[in-house]
Amino acid sequence: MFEAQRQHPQHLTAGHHRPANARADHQAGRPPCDDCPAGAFPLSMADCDQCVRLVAIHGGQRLRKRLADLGLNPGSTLRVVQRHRGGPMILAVKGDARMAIGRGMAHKILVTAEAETPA
Amino acid sequence: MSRDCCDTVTQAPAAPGRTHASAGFQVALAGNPNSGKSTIFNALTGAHQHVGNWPGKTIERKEGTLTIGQHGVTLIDLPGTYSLSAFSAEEVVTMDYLLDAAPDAVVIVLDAGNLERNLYLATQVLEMGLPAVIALNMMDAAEARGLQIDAQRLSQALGAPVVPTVARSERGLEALKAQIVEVASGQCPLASTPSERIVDYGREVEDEIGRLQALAQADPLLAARYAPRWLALKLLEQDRSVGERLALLDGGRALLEAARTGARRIESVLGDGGDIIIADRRYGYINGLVREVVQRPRVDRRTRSDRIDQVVTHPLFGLPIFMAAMWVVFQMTASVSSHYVDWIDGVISGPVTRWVMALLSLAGLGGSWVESLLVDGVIGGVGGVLVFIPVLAFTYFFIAVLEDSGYMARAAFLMDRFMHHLGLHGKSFIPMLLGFGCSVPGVFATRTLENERDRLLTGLLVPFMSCGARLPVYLVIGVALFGPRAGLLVFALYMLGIVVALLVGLLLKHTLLRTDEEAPFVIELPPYRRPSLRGVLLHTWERTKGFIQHATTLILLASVVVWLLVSIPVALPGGAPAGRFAQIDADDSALAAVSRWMAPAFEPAGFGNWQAASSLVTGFVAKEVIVSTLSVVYVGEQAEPAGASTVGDDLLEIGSSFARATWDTVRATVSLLPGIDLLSEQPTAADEARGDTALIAALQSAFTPLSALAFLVFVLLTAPCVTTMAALRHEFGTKWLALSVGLMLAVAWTASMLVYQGGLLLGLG
Repeated sequence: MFEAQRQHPQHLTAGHHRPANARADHQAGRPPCDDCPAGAFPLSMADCDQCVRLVAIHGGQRLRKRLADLGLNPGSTLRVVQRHRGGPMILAVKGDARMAIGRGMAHKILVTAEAETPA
Repeated sequence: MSRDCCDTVTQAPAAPGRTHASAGFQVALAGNPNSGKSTIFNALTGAHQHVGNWPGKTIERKEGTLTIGQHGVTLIDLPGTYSLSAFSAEEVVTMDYLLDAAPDAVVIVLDAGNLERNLYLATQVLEMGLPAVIALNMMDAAEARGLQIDAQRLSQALGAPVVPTVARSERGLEALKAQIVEVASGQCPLASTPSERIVDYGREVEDEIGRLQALAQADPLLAARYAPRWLALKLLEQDRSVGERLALLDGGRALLEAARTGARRIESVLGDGGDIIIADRRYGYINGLVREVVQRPRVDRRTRSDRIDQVVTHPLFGLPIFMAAMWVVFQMTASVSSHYVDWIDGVISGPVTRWVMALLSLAGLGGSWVESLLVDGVIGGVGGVLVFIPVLAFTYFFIAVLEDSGYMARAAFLMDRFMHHLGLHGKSFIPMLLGFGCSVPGVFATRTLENERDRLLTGLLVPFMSCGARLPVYLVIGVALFGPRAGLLVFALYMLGIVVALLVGLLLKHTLLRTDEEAPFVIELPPYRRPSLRGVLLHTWERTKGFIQHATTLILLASVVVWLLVSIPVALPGGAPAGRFAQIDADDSALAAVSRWMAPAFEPAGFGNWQAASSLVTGFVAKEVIVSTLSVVYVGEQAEPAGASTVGDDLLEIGSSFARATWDTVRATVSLLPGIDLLSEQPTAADEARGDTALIAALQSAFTPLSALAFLVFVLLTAPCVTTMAALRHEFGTKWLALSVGLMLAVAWTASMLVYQGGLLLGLG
């Protein structure tokens, strides 16, 4: 039997989300909201080809379960395949699946940078 | 690891109402969208399949039969889902089927190149405890990327036989068929048992599962109906649909309470809802399993599909490529298909009509009302359906190609931002676009929308996209009353249609079609694949056939009704006695009587005369008929020259005209390439409109520019032709059809009235 691979990260209730200051925060190394783990930033800030680890999703339980069903669950690794300035992003999810997500969704998904690991 | 498989026969919960008339097996196919499930279905059942809808839903249901050895197998293709969480109608349909119909076996189709995500659904289906076979599909693509999968190890871990397949080239299908029979007849050495755990959910959750499982097992009714461990799991996830089922059972409520307590305990200890924790642990398990089972090379992670997407979804190039692709699809379905449409029309109104008339003459019924009924009513009606075959076939064909190749997802992705501003989904673009050619393929194209509500909304708005058949009406009246500004008028009408559609869409979204949750904007982009020609053709054939069968009754009925209206003589009060049945002038028909009765309703809109009203009535059958009706009522019946010919001549004509139509279609297809025009000058609709001077004169005296405008607005927004209505009924059911018709009539009447009254107020009358 296979044990769960990692601890479940701290649950986030709907935190404060300030997209206007998000870039400044990100560049200064500040997390986007008070409860976020340090080093976390919205997926919309990730660079092309960057590998990131999903830590939390700003949203209700239903949304988080829905996204988890599609492969976007806390702890999973994402890689940004394509990103258009101010537009949707294409992600590599669960290694091989390709998902396109909207900008609004990308703002709600919090990630931390991850060192390049073999997919 | 071998288990005695005789035990597995007792696993399947005894579902009430399950009958097996023959010794055949019922087998279901489950899997992610884009896993090649439908390819497997097609490969196994071939032409022996039937396409319909799941009862009460607008989701497609495919059922087929095949023979394996001496066993007859009925195969059901369940909708593609990512999970069984009761969020979408597809998930509910799938879970309901697996619980209630209790198939003899479930074939879980996995995309070998995408195992982590595919196993998320697979583990959920396996936990339901049904006898299962796993088809590890698309092995060719996985191998091409250098992936090596240990199918044996996977099979051991999941407790079900794993068969590697490449459905497109039919590799592995024989092994799959053999395995299906083995599993379905309870003879396989590996099978999932409900008490066997596949995923370990961690100490806290497993404790709760244990508690609930014991409770469930203690209740004999529950234990017989649902696998206890699976039930416990679902309840801890607070699954809405399972909760509803249990609330109906006696022991259910107690179990629900216990589950609620358990879920709360999990939340307080682990800090998140039961469903999230369980999803999390499931992924953890899958992650570990995939590491064990899949070897991947350290090569460039950019796949071929990624490279193609660099161009196709590029912010600069993506949209023009998309526009070009859409233009091709539109042209093919709207105008290239017209050559075959004309051919069918020609055959029906020519040779077929002549033969029927000849047969009737032999029976002594020549010239009677029977002949009129059969020729004008029945043949006209059925013919009206048959002429749509080329349009439908082309539509289904191109949609199938777009979907199977994976491009459809990119199209939805490109259009989504734009469509979102309009309150619609990215995939709504194509149906709307097709609607500008003909509403019928537009309605059918809504199949590509995964979300039921989006599908319904789009389907209701498609008829507002002014279809090609309404154009002649705009042109004739436009030319008569507006002269050189007719072109501008037509453009304005099209824009009005779009604006009204958006407003109606907004209205519907806030009233009838309101939902609590918006589907999140996440679109899967499957890898590009070469679509299999066989699959696409099969697909096209099945869908076209399905519509023809379903629509014929409705259209026949409508045609006969209109025929009756035109044929029944109704004496004008104080006028000359009416003529004989089926041989009367338009003035004396029931149609005229009905139209006179309806006409006052159109007074506020400025065209309260019975002639205009009558054309709107006949316009229900087909929009093209509006112009010919106007011609008949204002100018008079034109005598059709009767051509006499032999059967031999007719057969020759059918054959040669088919060859001509095929050749024209080929030339039209090639002419799509810019710079090439192989078709000889064909008269445009505008030229034809200008030709009919008698009608134009009649129209100029019957309408003023303002009332003509109001009339055209009505024609633009009114209920669509009966074939579109049949399509709406086929896709969405009678209830929504009635709503659509009522809605459009109301909108049309209100708009035309506003235009006329508003114009009067502004002094434009």
